[in-house]
Amino acid sequence: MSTALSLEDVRVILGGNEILCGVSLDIQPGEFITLLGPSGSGKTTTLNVIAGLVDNSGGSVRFDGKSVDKRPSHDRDIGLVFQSYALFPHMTVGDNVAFPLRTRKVPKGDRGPIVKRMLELVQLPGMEKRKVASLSGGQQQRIALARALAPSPSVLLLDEPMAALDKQLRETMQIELKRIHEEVGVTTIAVTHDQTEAMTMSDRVAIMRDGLLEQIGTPEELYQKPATLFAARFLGEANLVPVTDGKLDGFGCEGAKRAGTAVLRPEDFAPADAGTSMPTITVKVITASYQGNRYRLDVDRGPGCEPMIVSLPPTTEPATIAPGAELRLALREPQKVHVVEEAAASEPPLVSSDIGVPV
Amino acid sequence: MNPELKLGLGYSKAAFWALGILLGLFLILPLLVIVPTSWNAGQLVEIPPHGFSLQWYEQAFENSQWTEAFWVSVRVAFFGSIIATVMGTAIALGMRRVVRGRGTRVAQSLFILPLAIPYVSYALGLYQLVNKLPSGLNDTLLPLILSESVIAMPLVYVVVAGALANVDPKLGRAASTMGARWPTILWRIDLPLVKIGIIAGFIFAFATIFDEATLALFLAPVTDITLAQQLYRSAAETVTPTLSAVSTMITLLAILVLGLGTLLSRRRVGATEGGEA
Repeated sequence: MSTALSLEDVRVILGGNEILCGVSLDIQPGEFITLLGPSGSGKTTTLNVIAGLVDNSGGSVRFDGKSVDKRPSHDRDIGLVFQSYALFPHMTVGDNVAFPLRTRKVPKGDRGPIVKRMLELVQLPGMEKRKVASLSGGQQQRIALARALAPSPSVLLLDEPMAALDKQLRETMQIELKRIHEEVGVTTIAVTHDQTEAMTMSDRVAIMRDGLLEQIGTPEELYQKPATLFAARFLGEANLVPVTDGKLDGFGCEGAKRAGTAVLRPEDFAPADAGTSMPTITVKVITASYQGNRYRLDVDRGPGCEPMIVSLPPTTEPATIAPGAELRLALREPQKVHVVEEAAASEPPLVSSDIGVPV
Repeated sequence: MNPELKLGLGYSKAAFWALGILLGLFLILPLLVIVPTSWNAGQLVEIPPHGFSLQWYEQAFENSQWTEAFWVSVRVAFFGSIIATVMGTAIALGMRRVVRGRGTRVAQSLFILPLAIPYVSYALGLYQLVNKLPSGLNDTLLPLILSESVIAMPLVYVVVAGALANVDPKLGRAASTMGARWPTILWRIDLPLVKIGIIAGFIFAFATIFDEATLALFLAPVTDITLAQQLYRSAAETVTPTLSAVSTMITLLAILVLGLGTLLSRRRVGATEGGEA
């Protein structure tokens, strides 16, 4: 029942602006893909094109190889969970979940058992008679999911599904969604601007930027081997260190490439032992903050360089990392340093408001 | 009065109170005169009334002139407001699907225009038109019903459009991703959500048409006159307490009907507020 989905050079022009500039994406049957990107990157538009709510002006969308460009959204056999859930306020929970069954002419007698099963799937059994307005945000979200899944659609689409939930509930729901996806096995495309959410839920993450696909890969690939500096900065914390003439600036060690930018993650560093053979760098602590599972250090590595972010184990002696203290850091695995063939200066810093702010 | 306004007014608020009370009296006084005279036990319209009796109510009910006129008014108001409700609702639903622009704003104003046109000129124009119709048509209530429905339509349109504004446009799109075509969306989503607005609109239309006199004067056939016309004719002859009794009953009916309408539109707001997360 799982459907393969492919986008082929999909373009969208709205009001004279090119919103999508040729997005191509192949999604395996049963795969969970997340489109991740800052606001305005075109991720929601991509979702709406798949749903048939926005027409593509070029390219094509295929379900199992068949183009659906000419099919209106009511003929696409999809389930879409809106950011605001869009539950029907005049219907009970049961009628909401049964709605897509009704439109698909599922016989009345068969609807009840399906609704019951769906409510069990989202762990809200026996809520059929409840009013939508009497539900909490988290419950509404589960009902919206049950409603989208009830007709066993070919494709499940999630538009910022967690944006309206508080942090703790969001984490619970991410795991929950993953469980449900594994149980149902439907091809799923989610949209989010929350990188943790993307990495938690998805088989693969597609990073989008300015209407284009920046990179697609498993969370591990994207984190360890970002293809571009944008991808490096967007997923996790990244220290971008220029590589010139094959040397990593400040470390004096060999880089994998002649020129480019090395992406050093905060956890790639460790306090250097006295006689270490690893490449080291001496930095000055700007601030150190204790975050439970680690110390997050902002360190200065010299004039003209951007400050770096370093993670140290929570057992570190606080006195050694007091602001102003000098610290010698070693690179844990210099041979694995990932270098992107882009100059660091070519990439403007991410605007912090792009991350973690619901749109 | 809101607290800020209260503070800001200071001593001049006495003037506001005086004006308010005066206006209130001006609106209520006629009722205070009419209602007591309707239960007068004597033969004349007099204040204060002599004794208490329901004889004038009895007379109004027994006189076929009054009962017939009442049913004419009911018929005109009922069919007129049905047509007005269908038109007003259809326009409100249609306008929502149209892309916003200057054209839609012009159209919106046009739909509300019947409220602004003087009824007399509208009636006069229609009168001449109806006179050209074959007698089989211009002798019926049809011209009156149609023209009343036109002036009541904006009321329905405004109320239903207001109700629709509270409906999340995403609901329709959500329904469409669930396999619903537009008739299903209309029938299962949009209409149920504005149902109470539609009923309220119908009630306002009914109340408006029921005692509308100008159009009736020009367009009602000679044989079927409305209650408003009948009242006017009787008053022109002699003023009897029957008139007071009839007016009192109409007023009560209007208060009842409009009260119901207001109650319903209140509930509508409460209902939709709770539903959206």
